[in-house]
Amino acid sequence: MIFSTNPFLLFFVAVTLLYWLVSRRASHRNLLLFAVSLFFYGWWDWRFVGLLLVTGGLDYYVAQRIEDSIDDRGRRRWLWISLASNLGALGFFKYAGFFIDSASVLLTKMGISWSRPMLEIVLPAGISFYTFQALGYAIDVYRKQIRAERDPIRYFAFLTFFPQLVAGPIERASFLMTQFVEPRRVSQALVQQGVWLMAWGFFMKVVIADYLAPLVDLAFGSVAPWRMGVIAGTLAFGGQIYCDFAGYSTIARGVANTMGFELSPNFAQPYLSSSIQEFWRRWHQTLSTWFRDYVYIPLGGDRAGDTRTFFNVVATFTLAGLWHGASWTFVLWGLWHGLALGFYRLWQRFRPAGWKIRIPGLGWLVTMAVVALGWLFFRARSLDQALAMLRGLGVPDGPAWGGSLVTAVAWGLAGVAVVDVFQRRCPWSRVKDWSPMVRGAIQGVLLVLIISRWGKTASSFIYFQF
Amino acid sequence: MSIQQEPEAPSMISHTYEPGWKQAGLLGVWTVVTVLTVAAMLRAGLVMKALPPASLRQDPDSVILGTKGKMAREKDSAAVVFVGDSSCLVNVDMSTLLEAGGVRGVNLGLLSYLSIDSFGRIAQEAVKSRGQGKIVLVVHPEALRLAAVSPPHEKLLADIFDDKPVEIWGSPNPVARILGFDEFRDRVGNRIIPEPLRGAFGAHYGFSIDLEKELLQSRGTMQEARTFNANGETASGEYRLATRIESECRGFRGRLPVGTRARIIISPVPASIARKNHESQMDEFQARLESWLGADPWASKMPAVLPDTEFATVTHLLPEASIKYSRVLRERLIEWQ
Repeated sequence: MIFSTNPFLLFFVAVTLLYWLVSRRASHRNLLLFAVSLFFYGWWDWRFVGLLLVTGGLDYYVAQRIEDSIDDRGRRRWLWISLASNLGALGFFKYAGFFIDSASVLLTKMGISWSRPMLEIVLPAGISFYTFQALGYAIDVYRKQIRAERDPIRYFAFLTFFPQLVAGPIERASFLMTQFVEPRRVSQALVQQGVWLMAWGFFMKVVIADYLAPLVDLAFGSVAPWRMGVIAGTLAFGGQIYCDFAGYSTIARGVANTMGFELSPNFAQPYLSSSIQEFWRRWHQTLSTWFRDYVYIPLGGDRAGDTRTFFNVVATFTLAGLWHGASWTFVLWGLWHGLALGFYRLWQRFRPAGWKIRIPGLGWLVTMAVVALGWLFFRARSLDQALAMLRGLGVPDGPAWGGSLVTAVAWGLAGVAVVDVFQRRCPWSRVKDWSPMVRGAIQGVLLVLIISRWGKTASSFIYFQF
Repeated sequence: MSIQQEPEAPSMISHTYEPGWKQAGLLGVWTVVTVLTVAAMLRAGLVMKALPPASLRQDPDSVILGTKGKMAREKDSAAVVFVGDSSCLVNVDMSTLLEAGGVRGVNLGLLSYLSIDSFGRIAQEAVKSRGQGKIVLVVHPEALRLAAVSPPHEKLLADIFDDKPVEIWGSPNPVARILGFDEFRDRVGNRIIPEPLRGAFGAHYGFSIDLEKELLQSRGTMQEARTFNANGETASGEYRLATRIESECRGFRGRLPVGTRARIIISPVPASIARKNHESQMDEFQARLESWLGADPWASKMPAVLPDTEFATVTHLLPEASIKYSRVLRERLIEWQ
């Protein structure tokens, strides 16, 4: 089920009413949340509900076995089972085709003939998100940071919680599971925050991201890329993916708020960053912290010298790139960001002691250029297309509609700028003190724009494919 | 994290609610008031005619109908006016007709889901504006057989010529329609923000405003970018004349001033679809249509079948093929003049 569709609106109203009107006992409400979350997920394809329950159920069992194991060896063995099952499911459904294709190309280049098996594997929605959430839970139990959950309903309500099931935020059990245990305090402030977040989230998705989507398709669909087309298309994609994904996360947080839950913020105006390090503190925060805690730090983090730190950063980001999709373009995107961050950290460490040159806006400009070049690889269908787009930067003349593309993209990016600047200057902590009239007027204007664009070019969320 | 291991006490509740929902209620009221105020302002703007008329730049269909409506009313020197379905729109290239002292024409071809009566209406407007002109009706056998029309498209064209405020078909969002937000988008938004086109036309023309410019520059001819795939087509070569074609043709003739000369072209089909008797069947259709339209007969026939490689779709020729086809047509038209 997609947030920006009529079925979801009906679902949301029905679930909220049910949730508030049925029994107030925690166990009943957790059961209700689990059931509606399965319905939400099964709306897309019922067949994969089984996969979700099996992989999730295994982690439920494994976490208890880890906790009950009397020695480290037993605990480690159960952790490996969790790792193997989660990464195995992810590997099969997401990466099998990619690895087989890559192996086929490699063998062909080596002159070895090989009959490539034809696999038609459908990628279950949100598998990258819920397997990482389940994996994080098992690792946290292994590290004794949390206790294993014994109540299956509570555990599954946490794992399948529908607002964040298919595209995050990727939550830690230490933050979200506790909310299924302790009585939730539904304050009017929380509900108001939820409605505010939903209004902004839908605005970002329906008004900006869905407006930019066909512009990106036009630019990246061009058979003869040209300079302004490549630049406008890449910037448009940067705006689209941000408003699409941050819009989803914001709606998810808002929906959760209306039921008394808090979800982690996932974005914090990343395009206002003045360094690549700052960008990654503001972009997809729950994934970044997941990789930091479960990959980067176990690799040694920054504790083993500069060279090793550089390697750890690059390796972590390359894996994060691969997490996004089974394609070399995603790997290159991750590698590019890893290198950028690795070199940035080296620069921070080794720049001349008296370095005081400050050019206003230069840090922002360089950061945006690095990020934009990364988006070009991220959006390209293949490496060949990415290279063709880069070559297009040298082609001055484009089609007759090139001017319209630039104008249209400028409108979309103006929308992105409005969102980021407004949210930076007016965070909820400030907005909540405004009068109902001012807040209502802003929500009303957002609603007008959302209604105007609703259903016009409804598209799925980009991160569903990951 | 600490998990409560004790059995759940009956008093355990999942939530506590804070009293005092007055502020939340006020917030909801102000949100709704804002939406309704915007809607009321838009309605007032419509009633007071403060908003500009709807821009016909919603999608390829509205751009085509709007631009052709505008072109029909131009007082230019076109000697021949081409009207018809989308095979006219794509297959008849005006610049080719003009080559080597050929024929100056204007392509007012529309879409296949408009009726022959609508083609007559645009021909009527074109002749009225120009004071004279020969009319060529171009239709594809598919349109003669199916002849299904789209009432919203027919209405839009009629509204353009009746100088009524046009209504774009709009989004499938009833709330936007009721509140008048669709009107704002059509009348203001689409004039400021370029609307990208979808699909194959989008890849070729980019934006609605660029399609409009190209149509004006090419004197009404559009280009197809797709490639014909006989295996992927479901078309059948079993053609017939739908029963209402006769009355529509007579209606078409009735719209033209007495003495206006007209001709009809039945567009070619791909060889892989054509039946063995296709050419003779088209000759028969041609004779009947000419009789109903009171059209001049051709001294030499236009091709009824062309190789698959010339086609983008069953009805549309590729750009190079439309140039070749238009060269043949130019020769026939010179004879007519």
